Amino acid sequence: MQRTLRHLGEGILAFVLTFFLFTFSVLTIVQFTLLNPKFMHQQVVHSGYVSAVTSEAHQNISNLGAGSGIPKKVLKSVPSKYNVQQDINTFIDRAYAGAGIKLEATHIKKQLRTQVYAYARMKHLPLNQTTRHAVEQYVNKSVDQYAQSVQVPYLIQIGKNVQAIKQYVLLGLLGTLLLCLVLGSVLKKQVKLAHRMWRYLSYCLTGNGLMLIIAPYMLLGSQVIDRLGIGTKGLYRLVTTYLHTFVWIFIISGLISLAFGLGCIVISEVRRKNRIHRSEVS
Amino acid sequence: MQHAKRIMAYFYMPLLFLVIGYGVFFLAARPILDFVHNTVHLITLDRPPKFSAEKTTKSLKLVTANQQQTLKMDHLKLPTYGDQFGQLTIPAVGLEQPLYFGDGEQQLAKGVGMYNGSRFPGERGTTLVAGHNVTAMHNLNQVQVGQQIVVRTSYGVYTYGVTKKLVAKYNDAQAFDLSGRQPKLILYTCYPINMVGLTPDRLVVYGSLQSGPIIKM
Repeated sequence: MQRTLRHLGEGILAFVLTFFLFTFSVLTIVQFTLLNPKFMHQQVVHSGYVSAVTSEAHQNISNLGAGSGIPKKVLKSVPSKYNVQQDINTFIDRAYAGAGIKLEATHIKKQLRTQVYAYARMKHLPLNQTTRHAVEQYVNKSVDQYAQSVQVPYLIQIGKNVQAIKQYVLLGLLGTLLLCLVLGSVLKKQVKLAHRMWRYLSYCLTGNGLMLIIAPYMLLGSQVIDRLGIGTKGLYRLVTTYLHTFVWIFIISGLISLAFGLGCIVISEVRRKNRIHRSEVS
Repeated sequence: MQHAKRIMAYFYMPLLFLVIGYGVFFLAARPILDFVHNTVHLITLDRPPKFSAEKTTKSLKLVTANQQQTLKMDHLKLPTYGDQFGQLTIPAVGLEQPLYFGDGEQQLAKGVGMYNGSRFPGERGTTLVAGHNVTAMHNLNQVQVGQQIVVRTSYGVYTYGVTKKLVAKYNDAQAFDLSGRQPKLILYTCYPINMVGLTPDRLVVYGSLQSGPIIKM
């Protein structure tokens, strides 16, 4: 009876350790993904968002040009994919810092002015004050449309939320890590035999692994992410790529935890056999 | 027996932790999860969205001659937004462009576009047609009063006589007045024709109907 109660107590301790280990794992993943602008940078590249935005921005600038007496071929290199990538990266960094951004896009303005005036000179069009004013209007409106294409919708608000919760996530992370270490040492003191400690550790790690895998896997299987109602293709691919990668990180972390759990099982069994062998010899 | 129990424990203990752990989590986070579930329901579709490259538009077959003097509206196969349903020709200046229903960027990139809030040629009212000055309407400024504009559509051929030509601001309500029951045509493009940049002025050419079947309700 006492032995059963002791084992029950150790089991409850192991479960609580598993729960805090799971919480620690989740907070760590959130810290390195949702709260990390570098993760967003990577997803922007993987999803081909830069190409989509470049194409959309070019289309908008060309359409505006057609309404401004500027043929499409004059503007075919505006904007460049490199510049779009730089601007998107800047926007993401500023958004995650909780600050807004007014995109100046001086490189776009310079390119447009150069190409439009070159075209006007080639066509011997009058370059008086009225024309220059009209060209400036066109350049400014093009930059406004470009800025709208570059700015990932809602990211500024997300960035503000990130700033608000960042410190709490970090505190939670440190808190759960501390709790895991405390619970681990309490469990070690309770469990007198070393191979049993490894056994309980394996329960914790495999339990943690299963918790990290099952729910995200079910989420992927339900195809909720693929059914998001986002109107534009580029943004849809960015959001779904981001969410898929985020969910897969949980699954991979779970598999790593399972692998460690498996290792602990092997160590526990080996140590148990060695102990039995030693006691038989002595 | 003990050996079997020990090995089974490696399976059921983590599973037990999984079930109890998820149970505790769902109980504790129930209000948030309900909110998240309802929100997700609002923003998801029944199936993944499809992004076709461009909405499929069609080109309606144009008539070459008028068979009747009047047409009934419900007998006509009218275009949907983006369809090419006609051809605009001004023989005197060599202007010949496909006519689309709708004056969005996609239509103006290919020809001239009829504002979808205006009347179809043949209806009682004004047909408003736009085109870019650098492409489709680059020679509209050469049009003179008295010259003819021919609009060939999928249901009839219409001839308009140019009655007026002027320069107006883009937001001049009088210049772009679509009220009135007389069938007429307004063509417009950015002005000056050979200027670069955004200009507030528009070159507007007015035409009144000379021949073509009238559409009745």
